[in-house]
Amino acid sequence: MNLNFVLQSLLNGLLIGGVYSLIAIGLTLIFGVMKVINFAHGAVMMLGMYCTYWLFVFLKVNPYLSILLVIPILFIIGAAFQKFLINPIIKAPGHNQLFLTLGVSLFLQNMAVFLWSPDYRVLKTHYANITYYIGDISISLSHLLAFGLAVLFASILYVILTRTDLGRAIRAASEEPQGAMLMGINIKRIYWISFGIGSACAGVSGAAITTFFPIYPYVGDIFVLTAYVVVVLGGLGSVLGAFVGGLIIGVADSIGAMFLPGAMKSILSFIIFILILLFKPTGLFGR
Amino acid sequence: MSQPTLATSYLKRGLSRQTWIIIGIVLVLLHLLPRAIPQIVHIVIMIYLFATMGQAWNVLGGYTGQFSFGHSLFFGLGAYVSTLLYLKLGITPWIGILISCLSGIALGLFIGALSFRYGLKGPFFALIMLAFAEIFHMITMGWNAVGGSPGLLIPLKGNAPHLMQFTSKQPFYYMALWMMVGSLYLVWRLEKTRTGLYFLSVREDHDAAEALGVDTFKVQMIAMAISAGLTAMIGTIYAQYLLFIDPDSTFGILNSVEIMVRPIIGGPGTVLGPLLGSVVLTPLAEITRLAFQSYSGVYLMWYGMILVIVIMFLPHGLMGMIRQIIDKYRKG
Amino acid sequence: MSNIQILIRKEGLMSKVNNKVEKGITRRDFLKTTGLAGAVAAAGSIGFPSVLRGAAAPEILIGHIHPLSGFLAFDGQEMKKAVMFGVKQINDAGGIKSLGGAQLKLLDGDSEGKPEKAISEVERLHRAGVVAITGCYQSAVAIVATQTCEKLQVPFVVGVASAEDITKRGFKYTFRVQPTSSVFADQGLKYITQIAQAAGEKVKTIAFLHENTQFGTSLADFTVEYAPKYGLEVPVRVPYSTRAADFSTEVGKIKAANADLIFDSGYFGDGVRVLRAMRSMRVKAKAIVGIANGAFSHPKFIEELGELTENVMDSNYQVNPVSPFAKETLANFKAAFNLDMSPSMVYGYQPVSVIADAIERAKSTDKEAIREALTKTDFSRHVLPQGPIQFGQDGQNKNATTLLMQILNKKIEVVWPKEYATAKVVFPHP
Repeated sequence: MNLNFVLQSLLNGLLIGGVYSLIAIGLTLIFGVMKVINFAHGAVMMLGMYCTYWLFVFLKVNPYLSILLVIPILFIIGAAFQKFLINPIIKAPGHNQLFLTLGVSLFLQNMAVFLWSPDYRVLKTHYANITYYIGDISISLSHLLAFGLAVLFASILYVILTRTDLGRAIRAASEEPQGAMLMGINIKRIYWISFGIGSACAGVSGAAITTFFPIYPYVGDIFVLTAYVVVVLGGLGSVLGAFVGGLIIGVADSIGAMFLPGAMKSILSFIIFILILLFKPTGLFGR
Repeated sequence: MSQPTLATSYLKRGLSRQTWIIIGIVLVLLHLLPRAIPQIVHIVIMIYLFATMGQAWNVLGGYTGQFSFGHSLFFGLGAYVSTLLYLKLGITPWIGILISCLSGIALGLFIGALSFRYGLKGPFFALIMLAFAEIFHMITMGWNAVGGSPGLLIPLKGNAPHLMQFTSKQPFYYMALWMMVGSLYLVWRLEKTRTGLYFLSVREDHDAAEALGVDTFKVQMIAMAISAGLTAMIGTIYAQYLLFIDPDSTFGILNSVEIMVRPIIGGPGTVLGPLLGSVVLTPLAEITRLAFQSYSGVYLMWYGMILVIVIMFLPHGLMGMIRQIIDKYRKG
Repeated sequence: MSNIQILIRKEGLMSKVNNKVEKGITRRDFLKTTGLAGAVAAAGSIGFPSVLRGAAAPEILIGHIHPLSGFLAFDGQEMKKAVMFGVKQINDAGGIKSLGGAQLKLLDGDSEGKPEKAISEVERLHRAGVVAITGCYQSAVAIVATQTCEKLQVPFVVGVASAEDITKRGFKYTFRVQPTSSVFADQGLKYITQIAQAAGEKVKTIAFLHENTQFGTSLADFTVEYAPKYGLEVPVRVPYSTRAADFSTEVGKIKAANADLIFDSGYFGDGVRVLRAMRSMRVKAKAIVGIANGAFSHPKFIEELGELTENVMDSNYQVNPVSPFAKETLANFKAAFNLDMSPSMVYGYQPVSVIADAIERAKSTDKEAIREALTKTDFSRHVLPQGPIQFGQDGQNKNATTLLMQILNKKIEVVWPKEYATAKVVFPHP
């Protein structure tokens, strides 16, 4: 257990934590506004990945550039999902929405299996092979870029939420829907916009990892489970919380992997999850 | 999820003699099924097993309003406990199944104590169950003493009734059938008791029930105990039937989904809901698999689609739809 | 034109049948023609070669179970092609001659990469009437599938699955063509020791990275057990889950071990990611050796990672590189499927010939007879680097051998043992 090994692990954990952060930010936005745990978030991320993949394969679009396309596409998908499926049952008890998103998740993932086969697909780019070295510690460019994108989009979102009218409306809607409506905010519109933004976040994080992660229909499952942990840890509805939480969980997983056999590395994260749920359900930054 | 016909069903103290006769005939037919149509015995056993687990989930979810997204936890626990007892200590699964039941109850009460004391509800309870299921999933994956990732293989002993192993499927068929019938009966009777009513009160309005003096904590714990214990027992039967268990096939998320989806689609909070859901979904899975030979996960696409449709248009599940049709038929 | 049609034409019924087809076959006609076809088929199966040669002999169903979907779908679909090729090869050569040229028909079984699915798939194939089954690519699946077959009394010839236990349970219906885990481990250790000696290098320690199911775990277990025999030891072993997001910590542990040799066992997908991580993290050793690695001697591995694969070794099963029949078979496969036949595919394909040979000798589709014939197998027309395929009491291919491959100049060469070598070994790795 030498220093290099520990530092390397922590660094890797931090970098992948950035990706967790971005996915979680999308999830927390959706939850914060709509009070719905979106089980289809992982499937949305998967769609973002396939989108990037097909753009690369057929149009040779650089995966990082295709993010510009992934954002609107996934936004529309998310918004449509909210508008046509969730909205109609918004008045129904919360668990209905839970099951609905579960159903959508099952449908999307297995539709992907049906359409695109369950084979793993890999984006062959040179990004995956470039590594930087600080001493003996290696940093893969693709991981670094994914982290960078996560930070970039988290910041953009933060700015939107705090400094724009839309952002204020979203926050108002999440804190006090009735009040917001009374102030003339079109809650329905806010809902689908938030869902769209949240889904776009998931899509972007998916796109960001395509350079080093295989693409297959169930890829979302791995990340979305962690995303829930992050969201609860950070505090439902808090973008800052999701960001910090993502990094914490990324590092926690790395620490877990150092001491436990591979399959158990996330035990630490889940235990943190359970403890937070029980003792501080509002999370680190939640209200 | 309020039930408009609840009041009327409570006024009916029991079933009419006609209904009992029909039930009797159905049971006799089901008993003859393995001899009549042996090809579908495997699917029907699966229908029964998942219907029973769905019913167990229903007690906690449909009736008490605590939707567990991690019921595979109890299923896996039951399977592993009895299998390990047999493999390591030679204890026959007939005793193992009882210990599995008790372990399920114990674990359920533990989680319940934590969750309900801290007032976890709705999605949070769903998630904590999921987290526990995943933790057990990971532990069984990484811990070689309980088989690790390769899982546990129960040595083939041919026909060994004292070890719950049979060369024919029929004994398992009857066991599964009676477990299911038992669970149906249990829930049907439970519906009419005060505890059953308490379940519903917690589901409908937790705080109001509290205010009216219902010990919501105790009620939820009872629901959890029944739900967990029953599911664990099915885990043992499953293990003995297949003679093989591993972390994925038992604690996997897919199992939690399969268990949940049947009562939700069939009709949460109803006696026949889980059975109806199982009868519709299990064959659907098989047929889809045969039709789309190459990729067999595709049946889950149907599950997803049906789930969405049911939630949007049939919030009381298929049972709700049937009740509506029956009511309309009665009036018209 | 089918054989029935030839016959009916000879009988002058063809025009009548055609007319009826246009109008829509009435029930009486349908019964008449099928009755005739049935009679012909029945007569054919009794065997009147001159008149009825090639008449509708019944198809012989064989099944295979592989992960056609799920996380190992890539490997599973390749195995399916291999099995299909095996069936095609037999059918093209005239089918089962002792049963009137009966053609083999293949039924697919999808394990989805999960052992419990194997059970229902075996049951389904059994109900469909298969006389033998092959598979499964994964040891975990194979263990369960063979147990179910033992219960149902269906012969199972394992193609690719390495776990020792598969043939150690005293089963009568289980046979296996590929080498077992212990053979992989033992021969791998032996070859690398010999190579190190030949190069005058001292090697002592091994760091073993492996996937955590039956497959990787048993290979690691045996390596640890046999290493002392060769003066080696395995101070570090690191299991990983093929479905993990990231292997850097596991690879980091291997790097920190600073061992002379690095062994790695896994499937194709994780093999690619592991090597990429190793190169990225500049993991160095005298040799990186796969033990039965699903990626390290697979042609697609080089496609995926290019020069990163240079010098990587693999102690694995392999097609016989010097046999003309093997070369011809590989060429035929490439022509049929436009794909290079990887070693796994070779072993996916081989059981079909073994099964066909057994049916041929059994002269029957009775499963018991086929099982008997399998026990007496002495099959030489194969593509493997070994003597004849013969099964021991436990159903294991007695002469199964592994070879040591190395990727040199972006080609997979066999470097050890010398009698099968196609290139000179490079050791230690630069």
